[in-house]
Amino acid sequence: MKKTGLISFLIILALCNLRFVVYGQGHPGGQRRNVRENIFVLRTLRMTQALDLTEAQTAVIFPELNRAEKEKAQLQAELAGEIRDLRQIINKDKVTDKEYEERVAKIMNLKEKVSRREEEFEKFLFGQLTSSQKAKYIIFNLDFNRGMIERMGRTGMAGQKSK
Amino acid sequence: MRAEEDRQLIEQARQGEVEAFMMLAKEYEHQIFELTYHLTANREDAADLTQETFLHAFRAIKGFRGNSSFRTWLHRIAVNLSLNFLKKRRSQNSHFEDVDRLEEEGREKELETVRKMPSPEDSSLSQEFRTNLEKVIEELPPAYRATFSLVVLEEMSHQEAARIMGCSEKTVSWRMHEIRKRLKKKLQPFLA
Amino acid sequence: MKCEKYQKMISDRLDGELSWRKGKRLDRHLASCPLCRNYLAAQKTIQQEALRIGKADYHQAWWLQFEQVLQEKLRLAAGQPADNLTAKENRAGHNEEKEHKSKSKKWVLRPAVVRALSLVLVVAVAASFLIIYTRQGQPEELPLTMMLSYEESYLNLGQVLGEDEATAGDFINSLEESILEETMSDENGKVPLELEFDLPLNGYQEEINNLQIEKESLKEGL
Repeated sequence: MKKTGLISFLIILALCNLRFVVYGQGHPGGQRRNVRENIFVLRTLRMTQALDLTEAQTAVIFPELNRAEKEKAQLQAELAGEIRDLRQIINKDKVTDKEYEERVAKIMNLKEKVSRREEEFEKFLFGQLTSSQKAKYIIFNLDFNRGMIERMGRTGMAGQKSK
Repeated sequence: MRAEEDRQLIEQARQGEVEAFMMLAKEYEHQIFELTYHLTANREDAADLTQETFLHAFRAIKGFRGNSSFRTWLHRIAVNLSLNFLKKRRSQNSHFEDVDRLEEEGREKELETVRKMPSPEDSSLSQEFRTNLEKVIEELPPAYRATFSLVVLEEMSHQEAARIMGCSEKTVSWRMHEIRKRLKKKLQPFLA
Repeated sequence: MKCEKYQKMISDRLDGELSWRKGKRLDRHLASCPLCRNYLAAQKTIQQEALRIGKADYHQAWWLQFEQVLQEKLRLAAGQPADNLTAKENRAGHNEEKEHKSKSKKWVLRPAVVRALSLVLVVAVAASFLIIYTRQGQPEELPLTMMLSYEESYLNLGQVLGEDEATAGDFINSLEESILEETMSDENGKVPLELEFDLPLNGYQEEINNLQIEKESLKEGL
């Protein structure tokens, strides 16, 4: 990784004082970063490297990246909560159609908001990238997401140490 | 002399030469093992962590530019891995009521004590003091334990310990002061 | 100057970090303060005993085996064929890890079928979203669409991990290791600010102490 890129990343990260309020996915609040935060850190590290971002680019992109991440993390946590509730009430006798409709609408609304915010950020990001960087972003995104699913598959297997 | 020898071996190791890296490893394996053992108080864990340290170092050696000494760099990896390990162990123990593991750890500690039988010249009082000293050190928060291990047991300077721990020399100095105050307080009955 | 400050000097002296000037000041104080003389004596005793603490005993044979195992692991890492690491040793290593892990977590022994069911449920829920949410109308494109959208794939991930604390914990560990590895190769070996290990304060109040240090330094014009 370029030294300048890494330094920028560290400075921006420190300046933005990235502290998440939301602890989603059932992890208790505490000193350890949760899943979302860890993925964000790793993704940002790798994206900086994959796109070979310059210092100037990181200075512009990272603040918006942090802002978008905070909003999306909040929305994802809400969404996870709604899904959890939905899972609990599904197929229970006393639930009315109206309640189902309301819950589904809530979930779809949250999902729409997450997607919109993601699009917003990617539009902003593309405004800062060169053509080759845009292409690299597509591939990076695909590979990273696939990598996360594979990683989950590996760690989900009982008794194996994940690396 | 040591630095020059290391430099040549590092160059060879960067080319992927396992034998060259092994020679480096043999130079430092005892030190790294001692350090991880002081941090984990468990031989098996220390052995695993020592192996991991060298594996990590081998994989990352291309990125080692020589700004710090190889020794410092290696110790830093070992400390980071050990602290990570202790963090995991702590969170596992705090999340789950694991009687089995606690019992196992208790048994391990007993065995450790038995292995370190006092030599004939040690008085019983001295042995008791040392046992309690070890206990108090083990109870220190991991980062403080690491600092103590590096400065007192590995006899490193504050500067080198600070580089390994990724903190300032002042922080190391202050930590040592706090550790010593705590040790004295806890061991006061034995010092009298 | 309070004794506390001289006791800190004693600590620095024991570490060989006390300047000549401060050493002189400390000596003057020790001449007239029995409390600090007692403190120094106690710390010297503690230091001496600490240095005698269990050097872990190791037989030469143990070290030879240790080096052999390490060498094989390094060869594997370097992409060379392992000489002596037999399948048995490999299995033994894995079994040891497995045993270690299973001993440390009683509850991790959930039936694989529970995980499989969770995964099926997640996929069903995600698929139902995308069928109702008709932005992309072609079911055969769904997997790639999910892969292209970070938030979509995160949603799936989050659902599975939320169901299984063990996997979530392992997943976090795996991520932290990757972050550590990928930042370790920085030439200074520095761990990024936000990735430094959080120190459990446990009454040590490090940040407050550091502020105090700064204040003291300013007062004494050091």
